[in-house]
Amino acid sequence: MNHSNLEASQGEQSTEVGELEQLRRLLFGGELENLLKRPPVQAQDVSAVLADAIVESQQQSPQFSAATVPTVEAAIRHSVKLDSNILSDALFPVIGPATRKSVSTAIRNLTQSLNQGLEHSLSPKSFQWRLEAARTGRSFAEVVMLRTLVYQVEQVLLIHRETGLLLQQVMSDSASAQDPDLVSAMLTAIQDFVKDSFNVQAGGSLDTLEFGELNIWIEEGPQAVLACVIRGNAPQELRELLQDSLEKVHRSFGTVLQTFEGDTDPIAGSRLYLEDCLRSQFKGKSDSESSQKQPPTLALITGCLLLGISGWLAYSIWAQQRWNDYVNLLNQQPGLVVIHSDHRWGSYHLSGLRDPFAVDPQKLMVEHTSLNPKKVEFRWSSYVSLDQEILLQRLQRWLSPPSEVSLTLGETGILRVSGVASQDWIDSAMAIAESSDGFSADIIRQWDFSQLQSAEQHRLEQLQARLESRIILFGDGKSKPEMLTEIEAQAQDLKAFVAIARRLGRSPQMVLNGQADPRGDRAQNLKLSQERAQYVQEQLLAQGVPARVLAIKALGARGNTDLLGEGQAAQFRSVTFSIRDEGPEEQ
Amino acid sequence: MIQKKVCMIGAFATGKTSLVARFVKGLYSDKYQTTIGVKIDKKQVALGEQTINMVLWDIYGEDEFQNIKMSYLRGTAGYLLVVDGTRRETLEIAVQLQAKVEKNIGPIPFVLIVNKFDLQAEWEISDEDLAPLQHRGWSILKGSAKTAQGVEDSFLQLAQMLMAPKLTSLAQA
Repeated sequence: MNHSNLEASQGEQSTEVGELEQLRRLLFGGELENLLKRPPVQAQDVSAVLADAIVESQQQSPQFSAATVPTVEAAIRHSVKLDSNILSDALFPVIGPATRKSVSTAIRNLTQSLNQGLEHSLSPKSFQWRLEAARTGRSFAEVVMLRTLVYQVEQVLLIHRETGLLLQQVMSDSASAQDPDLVSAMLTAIQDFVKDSFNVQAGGSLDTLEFGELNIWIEEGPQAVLACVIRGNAPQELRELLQDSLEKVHRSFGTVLQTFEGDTDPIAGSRLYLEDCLRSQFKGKSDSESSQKQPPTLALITGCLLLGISGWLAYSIWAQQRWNDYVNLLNQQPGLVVIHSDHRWGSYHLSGLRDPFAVDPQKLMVEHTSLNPKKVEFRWSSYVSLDQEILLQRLQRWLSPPSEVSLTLGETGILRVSGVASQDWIDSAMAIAESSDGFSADIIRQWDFSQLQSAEQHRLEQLQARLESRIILFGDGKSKPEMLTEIEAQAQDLKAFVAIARRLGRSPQMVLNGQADPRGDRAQNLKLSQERAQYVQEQLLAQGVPARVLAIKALGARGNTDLLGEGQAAQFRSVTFSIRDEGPEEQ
Repeated sequence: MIQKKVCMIGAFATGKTSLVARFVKGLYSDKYQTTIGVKIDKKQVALGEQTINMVLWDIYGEDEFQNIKMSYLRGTAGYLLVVDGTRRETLEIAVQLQAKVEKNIGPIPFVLIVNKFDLQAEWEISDEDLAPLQHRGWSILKGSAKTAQGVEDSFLQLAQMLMAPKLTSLAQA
């Protein structure tokens, strides 16, 4: 191989190396080389600068916020999809107060208008106001509110101090207002006008604009002005409230206000502070002084009315009850039937049927109730009651029985006449019994006189018992008694007995039973008993007793000697009496 | 919502109020202007997706008796400088006013409108008069409150300038 060839081959070799290098570079390139030389970016490296990077990009590019919106929205959507609780928990502290505030404002407004409406819907003024409402075409509630208003904040405007542009505004529901943008600018212009036109000292500001009942209170802050449109006379506390709210706005939105270039969205949150200023006060609520001095006539009248009505109701119920009790009492009385009763304007009317033997309704009223008989008008129709009690009364009246006689009507319809009465009465009663079947046969089926005794018969029985119970005692072996007074009494009773018996058509006889004790001779004893009876007979005859009513019976010795003691034996030394009926007297 | 305060500035009787009246339907009557020196109106302008609420302060025109109250200009984002095309002196006053505003408030966006274009034949102001101002970077439009020509445009242009303040100041520099 020659030199040139060597050179050529060397040249070829170097060319090859160059091409290889070229190929290598082509294949792997600078990027790959860089990649191989530089280590890969670590997450922790990025995290170290991420916060700064975000701040930086936000400052440099206004589009940064816009660029992150889709990501943030997607992240929120994703979070809600995964677990809605997380977001709701996070938002809870914000949503709670906001909802509460909104609801309470709504309720406050509603309550206010309701209260107003209720309070004034009955007052005498309300008619005037209704007329006014009809005349002006306003709603009644609106008129009431205007007329009872102490003050109401109708509109609150937050104005940018430098530009006079409206930052935020709130209005009460009942207010109507002009375009707040224009009002804000005009208020600012007026402020400027006053400052320029009258030499006000630096730092001074226009605080109040007054026009009739309309006031505009203006509070100036370093960046913003709060203008408050008030109807009526607001208290000084409202001014403090305005200042406080304005301070809060400055605290929360100070930086935004400083760099304000016309975008009001970042200041939207100031609405809450403005709503705080929407206060109002109505007459009669917090106006405690006047309400204390002069109690509301309506309430007083209503109170009296209610008291009166409830009193009247209670009285009516009581009176009705009293009347019902009386009517019930009447209906319970035998021989009284109440058919109609009513009670009108303090007077009472009562009509029905009354048996003349029934109790007197007026007497019953006086005895049992507090009703005034003068206020009750009775209208009774007479009727004959078949009520047992009344029937008995009627019979009592009819028969007029003596006090010893009682009438009882049994359930079986048997009228039992019992007791003692004169024979004349008994005869007349029996006559009535026979003739009374006509009217009371259904009630009194049978008359029972078995328990009724005539007075004479009764007397007769009494006398007979007395006559038969007397005993005239004699001494041992004697035929004359010691008890002469007993014989006299016997004579008197016997005479009376005989007289009554005769009147009853009878002729009784009294037997004088002479007796002796069993001691001694039997014949002697018989004689002794005979003598004893004769002696008593003589004595009775001497007393005027007719001889034909007396009979003698000598019984001789009585009793058993062995069994008798001296005391008992004496009982047999006697004369006893017994009555026997000889049947009807022979004329 | 973006809000911007915009003032109407110009010599007496240049047609500021007429321009505003053409642009909006206002709330306050004209007598405010003569009493407190300003009348306020509002107009919403849509600029792309952005809505701008322009609060217009129509300030009583400057004349030999009354100067414009600079306090009304405080906080203004921009202004419309109004000139009456038929009265040359109003242009001079406008130039003075612009300098005064820039001195008091700073370099803020404004648009100069030469009004009463419907009376073009009587105009005392020619394009040559306006050229140096245009050269200084002023936005100048010709318009007429009577025919509405150029009115909407001038407000819109000002709105655009308000929304891109940096750009405008850059252009002015």
